[in-house]
Amino acid sequence: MKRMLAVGSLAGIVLSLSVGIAAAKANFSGTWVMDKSRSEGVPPDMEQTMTVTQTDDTLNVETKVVSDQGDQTITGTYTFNGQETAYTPKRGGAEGRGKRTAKWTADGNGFEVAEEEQFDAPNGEVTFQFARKWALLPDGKTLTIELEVKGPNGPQHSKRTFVKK
Amino acid sequence: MTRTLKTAPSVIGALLFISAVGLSALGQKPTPTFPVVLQVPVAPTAFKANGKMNLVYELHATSFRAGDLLLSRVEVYNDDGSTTTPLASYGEAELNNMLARPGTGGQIANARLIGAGLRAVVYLWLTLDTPAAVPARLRHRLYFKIPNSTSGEERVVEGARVAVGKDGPLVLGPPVRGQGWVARFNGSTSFHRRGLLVVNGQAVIAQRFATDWGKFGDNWNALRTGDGSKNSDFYAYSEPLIAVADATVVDVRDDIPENDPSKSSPAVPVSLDTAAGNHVILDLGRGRYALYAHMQPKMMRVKVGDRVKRGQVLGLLGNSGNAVGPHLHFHLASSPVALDGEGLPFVIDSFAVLGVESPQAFKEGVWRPDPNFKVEQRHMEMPIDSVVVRFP
Repeated sequence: MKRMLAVGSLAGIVLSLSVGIAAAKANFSGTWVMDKSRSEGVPPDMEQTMTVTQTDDTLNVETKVVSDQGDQTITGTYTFNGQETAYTPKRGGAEGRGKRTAKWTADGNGFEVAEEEQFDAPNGEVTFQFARKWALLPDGKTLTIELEVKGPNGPQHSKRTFVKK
Repeated sequence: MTRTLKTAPSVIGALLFISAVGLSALGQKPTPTFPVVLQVPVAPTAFKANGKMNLVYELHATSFRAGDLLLSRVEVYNDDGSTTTPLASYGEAELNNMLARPGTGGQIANARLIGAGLRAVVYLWLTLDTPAAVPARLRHRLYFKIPNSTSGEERVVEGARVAVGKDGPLVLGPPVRGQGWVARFNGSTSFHRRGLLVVNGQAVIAQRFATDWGKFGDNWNALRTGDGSKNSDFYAYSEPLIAVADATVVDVRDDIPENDPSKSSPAVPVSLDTAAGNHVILDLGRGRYALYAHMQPKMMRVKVGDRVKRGQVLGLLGNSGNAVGPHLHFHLASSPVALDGEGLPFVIDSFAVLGVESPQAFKEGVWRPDPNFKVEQRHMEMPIDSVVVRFP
């Protein structure tokens, strides 16, 4: 009995240590301006400014996109509770069905988002898959977002670098 | 607003500056897909006025961009590719006085800020020294800023290539006789010049080159005798209006009562139908029509279908329709309907310039000829900018 208690106490200590050394989550809150010179796969006339609000389990992002063709504001919410959330994507004036899952990376410096969007098209349903990876660099003032897109036009990749304002 | 090509040594510095600006500008490549549509709805025809050649037209810029745009510069080039120096270049301050924004009624804080789907109209008036300087073709470069852009980079749109009219302006005789006539409200910023009106689904400026002719009395210093409370107080009143060319009468109206100059409102409500008041329209051929507006009722000397000779009396100058005093509104347009069609330039074959009515003189209603002004005989010119003239 004594031995069992000892093992149990040890396990509790290990668990406590494990919790204690879990990586702190990066805080992305603030305004971020895309640095075009350090970004890839982005149209040359495009500017982006993100405003991020972060709480324990949720990150809200509002992205203002400015290009020759117009100004656009895109909003999104990432929830890090491990559960899939539904959202309504809009592309080219059409509304679709979307679902996403977000999770922190092991080092806590970023997170990954997997999204799938479906749109009804004249020739059937069209599906897009997005894989986003946010990472905060050690300086705390630089953010990179890698995006992989799989859709009817084939795979696309971009890597955007943002600087904290 | 005008720009003149100058060659005098005294302006070499200015030319160098303009040239540098032009070269610099041409170094900035246009963005072919930038979503602004440029149009010159009516090709200009060069005409002579005040001894110079003039190109008067409008450039329409319509934004197809999903967001605001700020127009920062307009440049006009000879399209023959021979020079990188613009014929004219207009920056922000000048553009503020050259733009109209249809549908705003002028109630807009910044006319250069163009929202999604909206249009700006740039009123251009280029002045060139000689006929040889008039290009055969024009093209335009417009510079835009995107207000929400953090970079502040300008985008360039190039286009609206247009051929300058080859036929030249129609040569006319005077619409009135004698001396002391003052040519009003036909300058670059006049309400006639900018009288954009939608008629039958078309945005037109029938009054583009319209002139309001007033008359100083024989004592040469006033437009009227008495207190101006009666139409007959005005020297212009009852002056005979004469055909500017051999023509056919295509429209006559003489049933609109005259306005009382002592009252601020016209005798009849102003509409497209009544604005010209009692009037005569002459068909001068080849789609060109001359309008004589605001005439006296029941005093017409011609009827529809009459063939008239140049100098023939059509009726009497009056004060009817959209007028605040006796005067002749005369213009040439492409339509036989008053205030419809596009205004066309013309020149008068011979007249003498006796002086210029200053804004102050206009305000006071009294004009004193400058004793040092040398009377100038003009040929094949359009009288503009409040010159006071004598017709043969």
